[in-house]
This record gives sequence, C-alpha cells and structure tokens, in this order.
Amino acid sequence: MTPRRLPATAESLCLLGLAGFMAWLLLGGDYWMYLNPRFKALTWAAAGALALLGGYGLWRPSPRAAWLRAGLFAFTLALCVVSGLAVHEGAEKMGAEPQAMREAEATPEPRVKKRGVEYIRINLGELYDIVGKPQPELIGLDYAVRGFVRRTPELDAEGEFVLYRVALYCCYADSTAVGFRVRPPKGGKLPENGAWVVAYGKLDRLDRPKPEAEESLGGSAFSSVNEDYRIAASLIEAEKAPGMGMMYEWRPQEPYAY
Amino acid sequence: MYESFQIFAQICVAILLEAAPFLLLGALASGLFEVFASRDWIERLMPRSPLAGVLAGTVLGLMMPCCECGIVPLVRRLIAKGVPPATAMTFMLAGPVINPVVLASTFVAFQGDLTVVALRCALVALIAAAVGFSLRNKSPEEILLPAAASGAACGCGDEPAPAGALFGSLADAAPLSALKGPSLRTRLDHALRHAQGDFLDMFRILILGAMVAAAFKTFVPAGFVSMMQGDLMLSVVGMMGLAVLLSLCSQADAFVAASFSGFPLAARLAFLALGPVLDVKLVLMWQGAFRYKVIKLLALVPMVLVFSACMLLGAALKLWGPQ
Repeated sequence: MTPRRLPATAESLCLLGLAGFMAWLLLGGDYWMYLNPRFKALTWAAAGALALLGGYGLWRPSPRAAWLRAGLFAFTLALCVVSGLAVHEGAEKMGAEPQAMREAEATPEPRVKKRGVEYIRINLGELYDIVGKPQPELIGLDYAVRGFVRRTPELDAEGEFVLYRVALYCCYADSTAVGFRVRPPKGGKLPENGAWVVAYGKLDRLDRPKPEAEESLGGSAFSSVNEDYRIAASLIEAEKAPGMGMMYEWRPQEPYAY
Repeated sequence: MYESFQIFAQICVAILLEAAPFLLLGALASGLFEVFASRDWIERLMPRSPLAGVLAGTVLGLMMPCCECGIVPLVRRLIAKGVPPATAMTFMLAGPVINPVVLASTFVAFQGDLTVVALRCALVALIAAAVGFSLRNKSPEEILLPAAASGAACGCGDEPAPAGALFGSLADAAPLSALKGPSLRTRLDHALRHAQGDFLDMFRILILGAMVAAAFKTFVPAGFVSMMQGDLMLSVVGMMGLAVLLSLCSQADAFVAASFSGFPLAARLAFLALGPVLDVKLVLMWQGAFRYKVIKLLALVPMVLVFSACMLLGAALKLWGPQ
C-alpha cells in the first residue's frame, strides 16, 4: 500500500462508517432525536450514496486524500458514537423515551372527555399559533396539551410551572422549545420537574407579559414561553412520554397533531 | 462539561445528517454535469447579455431546487464549464432561497404571511443580482482557485489522462462533438470520480462549519439572544450575526426566524435574507473554491445590502407600519 493510499483508505472507511451510523439510526429508532422523521427516505438515500462513495474510494482511492482530512472524518465518526450514546440520556432529560418509538403510538382521538368536559387535543406549538394570531373563537375553548414540566424557584413561588415541548423542524440544531405557563387547579400539587403530563384547561390572558419565565434548554438555544397567555388547568394528569417526544407537525385546525 | 460535549456532538451530527444528502446530491449533479454536459452545449444554452444572465440565475432555482451546501460544488463546476459567472454566481446566491421548497417552508413558518416571503425573495434576489452583475466581466480563472478550476477536487489533474479520455479536467475546452466519445461505463466512472472529489473536498468544510454552529448553539449564554430584541439596530445586527454563526439550512431557517417572535420583522428578515447567502460554513466552503477577492465580495455585498435594507424597513415600519 502506497503512503497516499493509506489515508485514502482511512477516508473511505470513515464514509462507510458514517453510512453504517445512518443505517443504525434509521433501523435502531433514535433517528427522531437528530432529524424530523419525514427525512427518513432522504437519509436512506444518503446512506446508500455514502456507502457507494466509500466502496468506490476503496477501489479507486482519492488522490487528494490526506491524513488531516482523514483525521477529521474519523473525529466526525467519533462524534457520531458519542452522540449516539448520549441520545438516551438526552431523551430522558426531555422526558421522552427513545425505545418507546418502536412501539407505534395509536393516533389519539381528536377530543377527550374528562369529568364531563370535552377537551380538544392540541400540541403546544399549535396552541402557540392560536394565541399568536388571536382568534377569539379559539381562545376560549377547552384544550388538552402535553409536554414536560420545568420548575424554577420563581415559578414555584407563583404556584405555576412551565409546560414545554421541543419543536423539531428539520434537525436537532433547528429545534425550539415552546412552552406555556400552567397554573394547576386549586389545591393541586405542582408536578415533578421533568415529568410528562397532560394539562387540561383553558387559556388565560396574563395581566402583564411575563418574559422572565424564559430559559435555555440544553441543545435548544431558542426556547420560548408565551408571554401573554397561560393555561389555567382544571386537571393535570401524569402521562407516559410519547414515543417521539418532539413536535414535528403543526396543523391549523382540528384534528390537531397533538 | 461532558454533558455539553454530548449536546455539541448531537447538534453537530444532526447538522451533518441534514446537510449530507444535499451535499451528496450536489456533488453527484456536479459529477454528472462535468461528464455529460459539453462546453459548447452550455455556451449555446446560456444567455449572452449579462443582464439576461443575471435574470436567468435568479430564477434558475425554481427549476433546480438546491440548498446552499450542495450548490457550491455545482456552481464551481458550472463556471469551470463555461457558464457565465454572472449567471452562475447569481444562481449560487439566489437558488437556495428562490426555489419552491424554501418558498413553501417560509410561507408555512410565517403562517401564510406572503409579505415575509416576498420580502425575503426580493432582498435575496437583489443581493444575488448585485454580486452576479459585479462579476459579469470576470473569467473563470479570475473567480475560481487554480485548484478548483483545474479539477483538483477530484484529483484528475494528478493522474495521467487515459487514452481517449475527455473528462479528465474541468478546464476541458474541447468540444465533445470533435472527439470520439468513450463508453457509458467510462463516463459514469469519471462522473463518480468527480463526485467523490467534490464531496470529500466540501464535506471536510461542512464538518468544520457544523462544529462552529454546534459550538455556538451549545455554549451561548442563556438570555444572550433575548437581550438583543429591544433595539432595532442591535436586533438587526444581532440577527445577522446569528444567521452567519448558526449556519442553518435555508429550508429550516424560516422556522427558527419565526420563533424569534419578540424581534421586529426587519430583524427577522435580516436573518432570513443573510443566512442562506453568507454563513460560517459557506465561507469555509468558498475558501475551497473561490479566490480571496471573490470571497470578500460575497461577504461584503450581502452584509451591506441586508443591513441597509433591513434598517430602512425597520425605520419605515416604526414610522408608518403596525409594530
């Protein structure tokens, strides 16, 4: 093997490794922690093309290969391994369970009845859109939203918590955490930090905007808690985290993506 | 610290996973283009006048949707193959925004607000046209790095050309019709060779860009972003800086821009218009393709135009519009 062929072989092996990592993500169920699942076909195609280029490179080594470039590719592969191992931990922090994704979640009914009241199932992003473009006919309705709980000493003092959910548009780097303050029913306890809950209630306009509730969540530099409305909950129920904990879809009307 | 590194790794890998298909597509298109599109055919096809060329470059993305990562190797190849620089450079800047996919994502992200879509298109078209027009009289050698112009990305120039080979170099100026063509298998091998060279060359740079963007997202202090939104100039400059640092894909950035709901429209427009034409990963990619003077132009024109247009828009909206 010539000195030039060695880094070229290393580069090709890294491309094959990257293709293998993509296939592992697609088959292993953690794909949704990196990319919106609607890109699966695209990633399959990319994995195939990378494998093709990797195989081709073993057969016809790139004459421009260099150890520095091969080292960078190897470091990238190491990042893949580190992130792959960390995903379970990160998912736990967001209250989601990567493994649960394999269990296909049945599409829930668009409405749910609790204690005689019918609630519209909606996700926090969709609810955010409703208050963003005030639509009076939709503001006063009863909603059921789910997400993970974030508590701070300041919010505790006000008897509230923030219900968050991460919106993933394309990839994890674009993700934005969207949240609403939630006021539990009278006498109701605040749920545990990080717990997944469903809050049933109505939107309640705040007297003055409360931007101080905003915080940064790991990986989502952009988190946004609605400043104008909170959810006045009439019921809060603990829930198992949905298979894929993030929001990938927003619908303008019923049935909402929930 | 290890936790931050894990988040950094996840963001970095996510960006690479998102961009890799488009880069591969761009490299493959570039390889096929190199082998199957002859120079005389391209010369016949492209408009002669610089103005028509700029106009063609602005709307080419509507027929050839391409993201900003994949378009760089393709444009490098287009110029080397004889596409007028005015057309190719306009296409490189306008294509990632003025295409059906990005127009639709902007429309959806801003809840059907056509004003944002129109403003984004207009500003990006203006930037692209300004850059394209100012490069109208340049030759490929004046724009591309010597290595890029001679096909060094694929390394073809390093190897003795096989007998009868037509596609060994980007500088290939021989009309195909004048020579006996090789077999389809040989052509495909050459296409793959070029695609391999382009991809490996650009992927290295994409990795570095993804690392910078991931580091920013991971280590930026909480509240830094929200600090900027109160002042028009600070918010416009801040959003321009964020667009450059975050290096988001043009197909996704509209959703991120929309999430900055507390920022004035002018600042969000600055983010939407600047990100696809100038960001860290693009600058790194350009360094592998274009000469320093061209990179300077590619960086300065968008910055000046976006800043001026968005400050004017912000001031106008403050005076007359609903804020």
